Amino acid sequence: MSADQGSGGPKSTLAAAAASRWRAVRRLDGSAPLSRRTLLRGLLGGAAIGIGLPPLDAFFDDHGERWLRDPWAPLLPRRAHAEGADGFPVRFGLFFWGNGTLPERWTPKGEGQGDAWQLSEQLAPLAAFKKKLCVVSGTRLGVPNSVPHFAGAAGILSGRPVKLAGTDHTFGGPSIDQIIAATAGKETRFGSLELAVEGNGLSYNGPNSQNPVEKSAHKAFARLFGKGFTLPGEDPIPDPTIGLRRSILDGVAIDCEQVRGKLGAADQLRLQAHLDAVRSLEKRLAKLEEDPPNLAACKLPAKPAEAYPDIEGRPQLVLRSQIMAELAAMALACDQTRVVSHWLTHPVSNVLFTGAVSGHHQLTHDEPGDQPQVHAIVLQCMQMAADYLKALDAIPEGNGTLLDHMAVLLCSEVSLGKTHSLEEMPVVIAGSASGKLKTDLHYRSKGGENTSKALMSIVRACGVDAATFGADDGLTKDGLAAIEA
Amino acid sequence: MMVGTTGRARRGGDRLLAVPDALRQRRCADLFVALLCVAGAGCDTPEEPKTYAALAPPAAAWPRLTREQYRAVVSDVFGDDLALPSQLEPDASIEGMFAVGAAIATVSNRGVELYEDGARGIARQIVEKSGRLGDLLPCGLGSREACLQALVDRYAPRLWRRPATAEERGRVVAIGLKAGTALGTDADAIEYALVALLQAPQLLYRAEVGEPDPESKGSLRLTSFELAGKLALVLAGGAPDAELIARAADGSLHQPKVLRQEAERLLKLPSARRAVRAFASQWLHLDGLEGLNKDPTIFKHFSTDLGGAAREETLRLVEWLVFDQDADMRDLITTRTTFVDRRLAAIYDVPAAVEDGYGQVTLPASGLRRGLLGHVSFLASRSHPVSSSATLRGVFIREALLCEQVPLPPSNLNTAIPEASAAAPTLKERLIAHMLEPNCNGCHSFTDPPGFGLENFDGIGRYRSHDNGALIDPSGAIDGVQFKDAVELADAVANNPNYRKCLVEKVWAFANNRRPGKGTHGTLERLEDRFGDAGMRLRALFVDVVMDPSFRRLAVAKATP
Repeated sequence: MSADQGSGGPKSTLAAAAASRWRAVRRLDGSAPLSRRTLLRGLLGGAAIGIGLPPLDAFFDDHGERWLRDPWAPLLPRRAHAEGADGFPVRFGLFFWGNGTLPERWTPKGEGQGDAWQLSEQLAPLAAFKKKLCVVSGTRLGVPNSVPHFAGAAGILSGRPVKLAGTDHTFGGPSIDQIIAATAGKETRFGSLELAVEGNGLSYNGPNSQNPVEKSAHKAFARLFGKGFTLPGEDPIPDPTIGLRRSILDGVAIDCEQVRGKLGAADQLRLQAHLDAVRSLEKRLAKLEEDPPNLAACKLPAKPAEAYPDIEGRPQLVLRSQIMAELAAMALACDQTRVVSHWLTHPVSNVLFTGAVSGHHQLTHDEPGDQPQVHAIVLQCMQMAADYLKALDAIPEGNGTLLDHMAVLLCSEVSLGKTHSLEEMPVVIAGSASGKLKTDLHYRSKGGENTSKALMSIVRACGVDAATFGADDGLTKDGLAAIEA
Repeated sequence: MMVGTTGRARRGGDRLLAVPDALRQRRCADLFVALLCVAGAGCDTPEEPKTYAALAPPAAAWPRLTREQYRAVVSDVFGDDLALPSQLEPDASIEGMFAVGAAIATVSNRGVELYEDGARGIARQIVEKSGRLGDLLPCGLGSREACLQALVDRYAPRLWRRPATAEERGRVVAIGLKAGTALGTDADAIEYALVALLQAPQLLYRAEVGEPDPESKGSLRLTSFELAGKLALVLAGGAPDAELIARAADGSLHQPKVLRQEAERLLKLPSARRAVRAFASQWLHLDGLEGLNKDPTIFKHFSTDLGGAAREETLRLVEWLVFDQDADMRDLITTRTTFVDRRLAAIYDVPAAVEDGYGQVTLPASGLRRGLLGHVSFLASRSHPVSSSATLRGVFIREALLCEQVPLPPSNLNTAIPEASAAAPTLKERLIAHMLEPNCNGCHSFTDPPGFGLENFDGIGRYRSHDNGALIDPSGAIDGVQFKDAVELADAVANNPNYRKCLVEKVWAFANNRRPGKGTHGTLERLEDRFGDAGMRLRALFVDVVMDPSFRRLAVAKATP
């Protein structure tokens, strides 16, 4: 059944087969009490000796097309994440740009699947992926539009009204990437990745807890593929400091516990967040001691330059977005994470796009007529979205591509930037989440359903067993049945 | 006393426009007046000798060190030649104040990873730099364990702002011993003990949980170490020094006389400049300047490092006023003195005083440029990438300098300002046309007129006499005070009673990691009166704020399950 049940091979194959079994156990049992390294160390009297083993295909059938379960799998805890028919986990991506669209030029023509619908003028850059897209139009955010732009951002990404405190505002709950990461991010080295081209992103763990984004591709590369990263087939380099680092984190956790009783309720929540993050880092360090999953498409991406300076006051958005896209694609292909967000620009971003005579946000409000410059900017954003999807679709996985095993949400925080409108929200889902979502579909909502429903469908397609999405006026219990396969 | 006159002053305010719906016109202003009165700041001028409402102290807090504070504490303790982590969990901001955001800031997964990375990098540098280890910890004799214990005893009091408990010390020593065994050397043992010290919540947060106050039964005060740590961050921007630690250790810091001595001593140290710079940077929202972006085809003087230079100009002026002049803080708004490098000098059209770096210059007395409102840091950051913005500048004056709340623009509204036309060629005229919209008038008539006074400065802060070919009329009014140009606007802002009140609120918030609220009105009022009576000197205000009981008293917590 699996490759490691090799028949009549030489001795080395048998050794490899035995080793692969360990490997498989650890892959399937997150809390593996005994790693191969520990075992070897024990056998060799504690000396740290790395033994090179040949690459294994423990998770693949003879054609390399299946992420196989170990024969012992029935005895082991089930995986928490969603899994498609071919065994690859479902992964989530978010591609966000600020300041919306021009809805009249955004909404596709025709409704239904296949030839029944055509891409709109503003979605035209995504033409190469039409068969992998689901465009949801005609929905509206239920949340009150209390803070221009930000209410829309919180509304679409968290399904909740903005949480206001004086002149300041924050999300009322986690953003969709973190909702999915809470389940899908449990088994990987990084629970989620937040990469930004411009701005600080909008990934929230909860109120007043925003995840810092990585804006430097160079640093993102070092974090993902620098020291500690092991390519499939390579053995992790034994590193005794990892154990020490985990011991230190244990101590930090004890220190946190000791202050807990002295704090008020709100501060105890902050303390708990810190403590959870400490535990999460401990788990991620443990991952470094494991063998990497054997994934055929995992390769070391090209190392980005230290900086991509602005040219004539204009950031090199296309190039920087492209490089981040490639890092995200390979982070997913190497199973370093299963949740990525890509923050192209942010709400109210006034970045100077190519060809624009003014900042984006200013143009949305001040450009007269049918706003040709705003239109050109939306087209540039969609071209960068297409580049993003292209990077994901270039990774072969099983009989399809990485993109086929994903749900990638493309969205912005408003529809028409000029009026901060929360009607006709722009929502595109790329990838079928391993067949759980319909594709080549334009679903036009009649009567302005809550946009949260589309996000509910995505959250469930990504394997999160959630009863609801959002809260208050953004709350939904139902997804959009019409887009679910 | 000027307290309480602000509401009436504004009621008589900007008669710039005749708008039919007078009620709507005053919406913003009335809202604010109502807030003020509700807040108890007093809406009538008191006649009798002043009494101040009693303090209701706040509950225990657990602020996180800001990124700047974390770096400062580490470099104070281990040396300022260390390369400190450039990336750390972002600070939370409340009205621009990271010190206030610190009390609600959390740490994400990524944040813990960055702290760990930072701690390892710092520890590695400490042990790798030849000679440093010996300086840090001369423990050639004795056991490794004794050496590690000495390390904790020596560094925890400053790094954690209190001594380690026996248990905490034991944990750090155990890590060091484990590292020594696994990796082999004393240096390894010390390196990992340092990594542990540097990741501890005792460093990253300030537990201010207090102890029973012997002088006031049933209430709490900060412990002497909590008080010392808070004092050091507020007045020195970093770790407590040995002398302050000694005052905390012997408990004498609880005596008001000693506390005052320490406060005045700290304000004389070079690190006080760092603290005041941190305050000014948060008060005046200078931290976003590094990302300043302008269209260089329109603004020939723009370069990507201009924002940082502009920030430095404003900080140097603040430093000079506070430490070299002990000036009245209204001078920040009205002075003709500033500090420019060659780029800023070119924008201001004055000769640079020095070839490299920043030199003191006096702006021409005949010009319109004066004080903070003439700085590139303010003018350029409160503008669009291609044009000026009277609205953004006005909002800054209202919110940061006068502590007035500007409501957010309504949603689902056409927010476009009218196009330039022959009848209305300048931004000012277009905005005045915009104000004719009843939905827009309420707030724009509150925010824009102060900005009109600065229309002689373009989107990067260069002087201009014309906008779109038409002569600029920089006149206007703010809170009933007419001004004919930027020079008079500066006087109007500096002498606005809300400017003084606002500065006191900002300093108090910076020092206490919270906005003034219920229970501190009397405190703020008293501080404001003293500030005014003493000539609006910032260092004296800092001393008053740390001497005030609101700096050291805590409410007795309700029992938490």
